[in-house]
Amino acid sequence: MVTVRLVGISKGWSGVKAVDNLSLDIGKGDFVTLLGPSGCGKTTTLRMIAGLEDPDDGEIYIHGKLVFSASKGINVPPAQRGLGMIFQSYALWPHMTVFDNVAFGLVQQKLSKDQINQRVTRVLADVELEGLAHRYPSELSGGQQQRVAVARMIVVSPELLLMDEPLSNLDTRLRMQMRASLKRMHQETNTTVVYVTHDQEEALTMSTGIAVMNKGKLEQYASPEEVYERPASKFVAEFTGNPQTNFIDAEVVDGRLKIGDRFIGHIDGDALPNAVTLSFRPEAMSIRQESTPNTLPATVYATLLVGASVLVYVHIGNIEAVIRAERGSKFRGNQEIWLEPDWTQVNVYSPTTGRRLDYAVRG
Amino acid sequence: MNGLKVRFRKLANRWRKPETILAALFLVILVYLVVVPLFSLVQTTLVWGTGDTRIRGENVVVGKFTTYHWRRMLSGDFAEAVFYKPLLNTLIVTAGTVAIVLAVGSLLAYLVVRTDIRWAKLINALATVPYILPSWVLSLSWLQLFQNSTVAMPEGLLSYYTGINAPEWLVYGPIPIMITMGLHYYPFGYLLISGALRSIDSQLEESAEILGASKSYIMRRITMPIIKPALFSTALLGIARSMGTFGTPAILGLPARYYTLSTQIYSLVRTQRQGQGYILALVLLAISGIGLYVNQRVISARRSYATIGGKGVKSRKVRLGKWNTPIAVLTILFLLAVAVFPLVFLTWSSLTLYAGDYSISNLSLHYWIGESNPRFVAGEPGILRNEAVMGAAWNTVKLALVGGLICGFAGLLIGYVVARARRALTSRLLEQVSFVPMLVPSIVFGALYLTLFAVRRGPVPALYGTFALLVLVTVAKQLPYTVRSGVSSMLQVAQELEEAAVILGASWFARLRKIMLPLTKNGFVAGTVIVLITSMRELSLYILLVTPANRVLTTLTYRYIEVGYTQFSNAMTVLLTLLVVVLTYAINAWQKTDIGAGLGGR
Repeated sequence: MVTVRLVGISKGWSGVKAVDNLSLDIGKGDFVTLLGPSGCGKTTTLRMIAGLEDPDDGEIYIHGKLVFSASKGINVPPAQRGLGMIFQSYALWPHMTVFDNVAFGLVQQKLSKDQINQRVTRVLADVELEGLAHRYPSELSGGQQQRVAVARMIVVSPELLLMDEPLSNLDTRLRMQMRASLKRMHQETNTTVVYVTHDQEEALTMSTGIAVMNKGKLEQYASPEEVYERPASKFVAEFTGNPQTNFIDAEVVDGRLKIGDRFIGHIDGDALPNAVTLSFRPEAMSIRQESTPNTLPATVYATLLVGASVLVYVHIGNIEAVIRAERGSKFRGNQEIWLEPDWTQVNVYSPTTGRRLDYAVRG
Repeated sequence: MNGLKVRFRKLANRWRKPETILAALFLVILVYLVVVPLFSLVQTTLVWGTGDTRIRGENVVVGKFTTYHWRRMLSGDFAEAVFYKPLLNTLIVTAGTVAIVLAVGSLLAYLVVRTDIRWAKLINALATVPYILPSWVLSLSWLQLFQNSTVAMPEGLLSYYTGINAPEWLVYGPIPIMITMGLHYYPFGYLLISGALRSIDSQLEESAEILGASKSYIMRRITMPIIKPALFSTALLGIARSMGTFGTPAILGLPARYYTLSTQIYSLVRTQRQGQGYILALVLLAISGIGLYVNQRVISARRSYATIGGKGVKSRKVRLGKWNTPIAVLTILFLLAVAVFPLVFLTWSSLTLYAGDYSISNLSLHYWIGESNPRFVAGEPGILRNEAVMGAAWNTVKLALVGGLICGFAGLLIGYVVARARRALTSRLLEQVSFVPMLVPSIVFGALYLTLFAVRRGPVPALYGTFALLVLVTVAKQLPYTVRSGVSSMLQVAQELEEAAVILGASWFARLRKIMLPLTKNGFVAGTVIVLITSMRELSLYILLVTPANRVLTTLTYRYIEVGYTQFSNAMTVLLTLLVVVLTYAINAWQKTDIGAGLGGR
């Protein structure tokens, strides 16, 4: 079952394309994150699904129904698309109490007073805000405001919930808690969620699917594991992972990889290119004290303790890279070390297009 | 894809949005109320009017093209007397007025904002009072103080108590006009400049001080450039307002045959010489237009200052030391002299039975509650039992309330449209056009509406002589104030607040009623109160438009001033002032808004 289907959606302002020919299927019960840097078109996409923004081109289906079509001139208003939306600023109405905020959608549906009372009370209990019904938004903490925003949308029981960076205004600790509670809410209600964020960690931790966007185009749409392990492009590899992904250019000579003047590893496949870019995450290389055939020489630049592990910043030739090492590892500045790749975690990209190439690499 | 088709579809989609329809609607209305009158004004100067049939030696055909009016107004003795002399007078009076507005406004603003002066709150409150008084209160009380037998008038207070007869130049003419008009208009200068001064982070000045700059250098290179836009705006508004003011130059100028453009326009139109009067109106408009152009250039620079004071502004106050109390007392005395004493004089005068006799035995309530007595003011009963006066007072209140509410609401809706589609051409146009009336001198604006609504035009009936016309001219003229407060209060409401309601299925009207209006109520009230005050004490705007059936208090008062019923008209002025004060404070107490916020202080 597909809940949201985007077909060739485009949207631009004064000649600049914010979203460019985007197609995407979001299954029922999925938690799909639109991930990308600011200006990549993710919020615009979300607002087009909501009906707050009209695409210039393309079609949108929600729950199997065509809600927008540029060529057929169909444009169903937001309220009739059967969805809820949580805004980055929460957009709570400051002149209404928590109760009135949450009741608003039910009042629009012209439910009876009793029904409204009942449902609002139940939802407020669900988000653990009982007893705060008669407060005004300004009298609540950031986390409580966020939960009111959630309650206001789930009270009308939408089958599709859109969230626009709902956690970005919270401090780190609260953000972690709210991630857990949003994820639990998703599991309990089995609602389809489309979630916008620029925080790759948030995307990886919460989603069942991630759509990575760049300059209005879809770079990759896959499970979090696949996005992390097999990024479809250099852009995706760069944007995901913490603190950063390392890239090294290599020459291909007779099925071997040559970095600088050192041969390392093998590359298999037909019609091999002359040059490739290799990517490896900080944890995909181990530090060795002496040179072996499967290692690259490097010098230590600086060491940072990040709690569970140590980040070692190194120079490989004139390339900067980060290696994650065990806690307790000690290195001096300018120390000579050797790096041994875990070839299963290395990806190959075209240096020109930045797309992932399907060649296998090994030691 | 076909680019044209996309564009068409985008356009079609936009037209389904209420804000687009509203924008178009307002644009059409505003063009009719603001732009069309300008054309008909020009047209009137180029055709023969009904009043021109008296002219001999010309082939007068009413409605036919002629350059007669322009020829006559541009050269010759008539032009000298009716155009060039009043123009010169206007420029002199305006320059003097603006100088006083700038001097008094900035001095007061400096004292209140940048020094530790005592009783600063009281000073601040007193400083805005003249704004709510009718503009001619000061001129009438000026006469009450200085008039004497040398100008063939009953004795004023000065002459009565000291025997000193003020010379004519102090009683009538440019000097008293400048002083009274400057002292009436300085409050908006005070508000604009103190707003700018408040926005200066004193760290900006302190950094310069640490780098070794002298006080005067800091003033010249840092403080002044930052408040320069406010000074410019003050000067521009001062020019536009004082040029278009009718009451003061009429009361203090006409008895000495000292004409300014506004009084000259009035007398030409009253003698059915619109064709020539409107040429003068165009001249006033042109001067304002030049001012607008200059201000635009300054305002664009002003935007770059807008970020100053985004964080909490620290302001270090200058210590006045042992001079503090004397300066404070002097300031308060000055403010009392400008804001309170004039009213005392007028009240006193209204209580004297025979003009010029201030003895106890001459005190009487005749002009307030007396029955008709043919020996005084041609048998007019006291104002409180006078049907004409009471009718005009009721008209004034009605006009202020109806005009204020419509104008406030229109301002809010235009604010909504502008805030929703900041980038759209329609919004920018709407904002620009709605600001034009601010720069059109009041008397000209009245003249515009006189031509526009004198006859039926298409679906628009002839409104001359109706209450509706007064409402219309009030709304159009005061719209800049409510649009300004409407735009700023709508911009403060994040678009997401409305979108959340869209998602939850609220219609446009439901959103407006439940979300947007409640959240912008303060801006609405502030805007409405300003219109209320302004229109109640407005004379110049209505003087050409009222008919005996539809008088307001200000125009009726002026009629009695013209025929010399001094005590009677003074009583009416006091009544009007009381009405304004009571209504303003009632609304403020009810809604708790700050008038200053709507005045354009920020």
